[in-house]
Amino acid sequence: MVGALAAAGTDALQASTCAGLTGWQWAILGAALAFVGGGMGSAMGITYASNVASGVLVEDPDKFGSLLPLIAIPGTQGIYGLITAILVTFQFDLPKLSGQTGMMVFFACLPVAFVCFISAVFQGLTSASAIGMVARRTEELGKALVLPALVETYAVFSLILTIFLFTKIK
Amino acid sequence: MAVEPVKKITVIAYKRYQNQVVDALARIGTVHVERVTGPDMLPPKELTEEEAQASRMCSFGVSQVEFLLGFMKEYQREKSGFLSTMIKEKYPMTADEFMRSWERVDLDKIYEECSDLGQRLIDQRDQKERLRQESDELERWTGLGVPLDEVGGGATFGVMPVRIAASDLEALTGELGARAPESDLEVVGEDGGNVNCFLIYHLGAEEDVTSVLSGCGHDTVSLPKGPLEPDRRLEQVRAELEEIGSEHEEVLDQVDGYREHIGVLEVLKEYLVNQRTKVETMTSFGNTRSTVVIEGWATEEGIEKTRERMGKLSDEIEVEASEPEEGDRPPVSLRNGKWIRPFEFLTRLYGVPNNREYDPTWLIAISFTVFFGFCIGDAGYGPVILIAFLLMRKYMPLGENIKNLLLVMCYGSACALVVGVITGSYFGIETKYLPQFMQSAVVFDALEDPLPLMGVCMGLGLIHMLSGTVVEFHDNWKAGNVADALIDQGLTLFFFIGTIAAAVLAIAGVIPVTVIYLVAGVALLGMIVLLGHGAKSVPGKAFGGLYETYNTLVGWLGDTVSYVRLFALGLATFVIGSVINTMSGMVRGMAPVIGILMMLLVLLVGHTFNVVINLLGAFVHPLRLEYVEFFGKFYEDGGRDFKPLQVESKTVIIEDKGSS
Repeated sequence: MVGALAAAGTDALQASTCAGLTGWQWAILGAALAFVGGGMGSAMGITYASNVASGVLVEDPDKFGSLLPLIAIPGTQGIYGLITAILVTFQFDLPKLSGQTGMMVFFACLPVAFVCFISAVFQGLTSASAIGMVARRTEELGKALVLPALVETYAVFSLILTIFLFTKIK
Repeated sequence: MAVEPVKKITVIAYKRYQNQVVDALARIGTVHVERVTGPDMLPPKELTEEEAQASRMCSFGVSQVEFLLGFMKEYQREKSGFLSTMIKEKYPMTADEFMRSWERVDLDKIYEECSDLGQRLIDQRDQKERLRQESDELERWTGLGVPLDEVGGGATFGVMPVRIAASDLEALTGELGARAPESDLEVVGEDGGNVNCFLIYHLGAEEDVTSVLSGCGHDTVSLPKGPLEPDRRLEQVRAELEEIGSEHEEVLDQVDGYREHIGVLEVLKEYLVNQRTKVETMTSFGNTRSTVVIEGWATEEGIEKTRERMGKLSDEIEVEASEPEEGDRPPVSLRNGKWIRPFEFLTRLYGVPNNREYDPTWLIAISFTVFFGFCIGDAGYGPVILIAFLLMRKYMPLGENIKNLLLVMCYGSACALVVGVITGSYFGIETKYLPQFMQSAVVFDALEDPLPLMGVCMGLGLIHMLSGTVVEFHDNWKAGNVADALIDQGLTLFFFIGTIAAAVLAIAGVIPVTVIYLVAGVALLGMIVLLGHGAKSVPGKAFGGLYETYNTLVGWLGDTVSYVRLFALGLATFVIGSVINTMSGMVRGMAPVIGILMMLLVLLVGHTFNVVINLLGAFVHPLRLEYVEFFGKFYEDGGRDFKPLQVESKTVIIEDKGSS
């Protein structure tokens, strides 16, 4: 009797896997990848911006307040990665997720994982250039803030798409 | 709520009143001074020797103050904290007190005394460095036992301190024994892998000794001279180092004593810069044989104030006002009501509007407040930020720009409270754990069903961009470009507003659904046919219209979706808050009492971090929506900001600024 039940449980588990992973495993993999992409990109982007800002601050430490938003802008992609990862845990009942649904969740996480990574790196480079602009002309801070914010548009779009796909999978 | 009209103002005064007039104008801050040129004028005014000397003295004073501030910062014992580097100290005072700044400190005396102290500190540093090097060398030769003066040798023998690698010692000893037997090598001490030796040789064997030494890589040591043995000299050097160290501390104490003047010096620097600017402004004045002519721009109110102030100075000073002439390019003065004025800096940050444009500050005020509220979007953080910033404004001496920024964020935080209530966000606590009355106020659940809130954000964006289009319609209409207004903006407005209105009426059952398609179709057809009206050729008009229509629709779609960032940032606030709450719950169970303390620490630090990081995003992203999506629909900028001659200060807050 016990053996029959165990066999049935194993069959059910095998049926709920997709490409060897359970739904839960696929979903967690997607969530982790979303944050890894966003987080790594943000870290790199902030590093590029900080390197340039350090040089400016050596000459004029009073510009710290003006430069801080430009340094911090590439940090948002890491937050988008975190939102995606948390949404995976909030929006889906992970232990009951079928292998196929889990795989769909994984693919839905990919826009954030890749677009946030790339956009954060390039946003960091744009921020670095904008910092150079503010170093010479502090009064142009408003325009300098807009340039890196333009790059982020695509990170926002990737998050929107990921959330939209989650609602469709549900 | 608009660009305030300015008039041309001319102040004519005898040269003997020049300084008084300039002082008075700087005090009331009403006139934007322009360079005077005209056929009746002598060549532009040049500074007299006295004025040029005053300008040079101001520049010299500024460099003295900068040296003193830099000097005190360099030798500051306790380095400034993070907050003090972020928020510079401000000095509130009246204009009269500011103008008497130079009386509060004897700059030349402090400069001279601090220069002396600076020189002493440099000498002490050099001396310490030299003694430290000597001490390092002597420590290796403490076993020498011979006065340092005798190290050079005598009439018939030479003495040489040598340092070689320990592994080479045996080879060197053997070589010396074979080739220079009239020498003796005595080991004094070891230092790492090296051996310090004392080589005595007969002068006749000097060539052989030198040859042997050069063959076995040695370091030539240069010992200091003196009557004492190395160990006794070392004691002496250490005592000298100690003495210099205490002298150094005494000098640093004296430098600390001058730190009480930092505030006065910072004020003095601003005073000197203002004085120099005032003198240099005089070169813009017109010049006749006996009068000076000051020309510029002023508002109606400013003209009256200037007349009143000049009248108090003398009856012989003439103030004339006239309307701008054709070809004049007057500066732009923004004038908004009390509630809107703090937002003017957001418009200026991009560039003031030109004279033909509408001042969009009031629209920015409303939209920025709402967008900021959505980005924070938490009914817990909102009131905390609001109270903190109101207290900062009340009790901290802050500059006008920072006060405006804080007030703008206060409005936004009040909006965040409302957004937090309807989205059920309170310090990141999940909705299911909230009291029932809070749960019942929730309209949008961003986590469970995010699409409605995303739709609201896009709706707000559409309204925002439509208002920008209406402004451009107004500007075009006012400028007489009626066709441009009706075609370029009118059709777009008709398409969006008409379609949305028809959809609402259709949903309400007032009109059939087909009317929506009809309205949208007519608007689209109109756009395709007419939007290419700028092209010269017929094919250009036809294809231009199609291309412009495509561009308009795709552009509006992309711009509208861009507003979903408001939802994303609001969700980020909630999600990070929620993670912090989960983390605090995890540390709570670690230990009975310490766990609770740790939990409180995690909550305090975590939520503070969340507020700070999201404040940054809540400022930058709404600003981007204003500058890219909103301004992109109408704004040209290119105006010259109205900058009256007045006391300019970064660290001084003039309490009675503008009063006559």
